[in-house]
Amino acid sequence: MESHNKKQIRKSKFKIDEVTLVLLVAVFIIALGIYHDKSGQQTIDAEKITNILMDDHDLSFASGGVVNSDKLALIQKMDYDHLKDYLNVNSDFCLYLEDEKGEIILAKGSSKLNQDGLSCR
Amino acid sequence: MNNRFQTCPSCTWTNAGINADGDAQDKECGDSLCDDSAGVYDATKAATETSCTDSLDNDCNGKTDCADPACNGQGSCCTTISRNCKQLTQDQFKQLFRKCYFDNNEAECLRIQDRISNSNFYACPNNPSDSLCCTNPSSCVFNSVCYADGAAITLPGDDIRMICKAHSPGQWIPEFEIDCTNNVDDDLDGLTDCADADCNGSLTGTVKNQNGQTLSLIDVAAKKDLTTVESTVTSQSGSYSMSLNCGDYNIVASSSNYAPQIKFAFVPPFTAKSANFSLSIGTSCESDCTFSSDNIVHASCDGKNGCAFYDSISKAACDDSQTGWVRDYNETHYVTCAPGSPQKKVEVQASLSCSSGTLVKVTRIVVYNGKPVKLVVATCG
Repeated sequence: MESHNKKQIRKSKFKIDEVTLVLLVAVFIIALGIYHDKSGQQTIDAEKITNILMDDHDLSFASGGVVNSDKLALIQKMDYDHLKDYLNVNSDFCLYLEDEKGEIILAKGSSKLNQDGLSCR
Repeated sequence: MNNRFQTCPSCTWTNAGINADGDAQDKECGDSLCDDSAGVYDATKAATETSCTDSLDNDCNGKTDCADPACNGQGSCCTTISRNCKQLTQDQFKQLFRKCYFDNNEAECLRIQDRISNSNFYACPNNPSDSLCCTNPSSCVFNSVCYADGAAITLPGDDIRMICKAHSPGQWIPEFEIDCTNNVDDDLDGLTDCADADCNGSLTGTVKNQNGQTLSLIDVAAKKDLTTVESTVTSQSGSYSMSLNCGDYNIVASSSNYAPQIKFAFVPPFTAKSANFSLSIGTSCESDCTFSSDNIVHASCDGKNGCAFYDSISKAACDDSQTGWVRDYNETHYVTCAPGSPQKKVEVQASLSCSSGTLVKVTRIVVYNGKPVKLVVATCG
């Protein structure tokens, strides 16, 4: 009789573990979905900004793959929020030019992305 | 399935058969023992055309011996191909044999007579009786020899090779862009019309000063928009010559001691055009060390019209760059061309983080101040 009770306890414990596992998997999948959703939007925004900069708009300072210093200066002077509105993106961004040695030539963007040496403004 | 078999030669399924040949497989195309009908074992049937000379369709695909692709190239199988020379228009023919038509070389005209037949013009001596049985049906024949696709031959006296263009059978075509306006890559070299050097024309001329004296060592550049596509300098006699792809150009004659002169020139295919210049004394150098005709920094402008390089190192570094370009002065300094003193290089390594979310980067290579740099767009969500 005692042995039978122990088996029941073990069985119910196992049941709790199973439920927990299912919940954990569900939480993981939801988190993954949210992550993918966010990073997907960011990728879209990054591509969108790049395309605008290299296309033929008022602020396309890298149209045709060649940097136009006048347009670049214009962007540098712009307020970040205005620039973000103009580019019509949701994600915060920083755009910068980096030479072959990995050195930053100039940067423009949100200070949320700043770290060692890089100064997005 | 085991009750089905196929009949030759068309391999149609028939329900009435069984495993007729006892090989434990249905009668089917590819069955190593393909039978004509159920219960009849035919030893001549096989998975492939095992013999190309037995007048039998061994693999039941409806094709017998040499007609079966499996026999392509087999010793006994070949395709009779006649010499096939590309037919040209008279204008194309004239361009191909310029020596006859433009240099009035009688011997050349006689030599190429065998390429004209019934008022038709051919790329090579047309002789359909020159034929041979070639194992590869996509071959060209010349003087009883089979040539593979892409093979080239140079006929005696010819300047231009003939290449075999295979389209079963092959055809001999000249390795020459015979038409520079048809939007077709005639000689299959990947270059169409004026982009092909075969269509080049030339530009010649002399450069003189306002007194009519010829000027040597004057820069003459052919430009498309702002890009110099060809340049040269005048000889001792003041003449210049350059070979150019056919098309429109701005021709600029310039020197640091003379005001530059620009002329428009259309260079037609295969044609020599001339453009002569008369330059007036005066400097064409501007204060930023470029000629007034271009945006290129010229070391030769140093000291003229306000152009002043910082020193000889700066002058050498900036020569042939564009204004505003950054050039290395030494390990630790750079100069902004053309005038300007060396500035210390500021070395800042990029390191980016995203405090709230993930960081996504898109990178493109762009040209900045004459140097390739990375344009990085990073987003943070």
